[in-house]
Amino acid sequence: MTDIIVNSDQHIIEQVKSGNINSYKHIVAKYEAQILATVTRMLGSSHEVEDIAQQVFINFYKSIARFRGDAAVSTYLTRIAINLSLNEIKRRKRKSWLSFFGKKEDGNYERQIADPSNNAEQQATKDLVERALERLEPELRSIVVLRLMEGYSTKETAEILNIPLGTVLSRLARGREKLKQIIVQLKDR
Amino acid sequence: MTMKNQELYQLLLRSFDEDLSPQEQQQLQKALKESAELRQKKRELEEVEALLRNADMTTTIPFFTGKVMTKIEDLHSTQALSLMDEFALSLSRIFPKVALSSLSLLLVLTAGLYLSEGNLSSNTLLGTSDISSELLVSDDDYLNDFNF
Repeated sequence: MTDIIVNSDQHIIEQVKSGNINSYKHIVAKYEAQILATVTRMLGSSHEVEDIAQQVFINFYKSIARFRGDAAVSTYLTRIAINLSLNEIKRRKRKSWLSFFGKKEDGNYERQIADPSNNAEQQATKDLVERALERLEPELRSIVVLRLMEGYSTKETAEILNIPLGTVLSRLARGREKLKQIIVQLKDR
Repeated sequence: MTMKNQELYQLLLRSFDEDLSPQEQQQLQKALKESAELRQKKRELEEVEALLRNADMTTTIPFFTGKVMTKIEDLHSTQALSLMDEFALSLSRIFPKVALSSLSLLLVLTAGLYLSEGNLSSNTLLGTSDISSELLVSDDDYLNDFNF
């Protein structure tokens, strides 16, 4: 099944490489939900999510000539999504420092996209998880998102983040423990 | 938490993501049976995992694919334009060099011609100054040759 999906992606990519740009829409349509979810998990529901997710597909398109199919398209896209999200987190930190020194920022970027189709309980769970992830250091957050939320194996997580497996395992243990503490704190409030 | 409990807790954390050795597994199982605190910690970790798994983090952005494709098409046309710009720029860069080289060559040739011929008449420039009058054929001779 995976082979069929990968081959079909590979076929689309070959078409794009040969100049048929329009075929790329199949890649975007197929992975948009996955990438939007990854970026939302990393950044919370904010207006930057759409920009970052769009940039993921644009960056992949720009580098498509170098894509040889060594890994699945979803793996490449997830890697780009995590890297761009980490850059965005750094940018936010810089921005908050600037606002500390007097420059005003637009602020309140968290939880701006609320899905009305979700019921109250689901929304509460989503909010709790978003708040908990937000308090986790970015390097722990990316591992928690990939392993515990997206279901990648520890080996795949290491490949996506380009870090040793041992680092993934130790950060995962730290991430689980810290997340548990944060959630207990948030629930107690 | 005592040192021993701390070690067991680390073992518990590792058990979620790593394959423990049979000895470690046995040690953890024994500790879980004996310690209510460790069992509680295990439950909390499992609850966190379930919470993360069940959190619906889907975000729907209307016309997302269309928006991306518009940006990519723009990018493509910008790239094509920039390629043309680059070509025009390289042409404009190379033109003065080519023009200057051609002018220099023309001046050198003219100077050489002047030095060898002593003047720059139209015959000299056309290279017909060396043709003697005998070699020149009148129109009448030319017509006679063909018996007109």
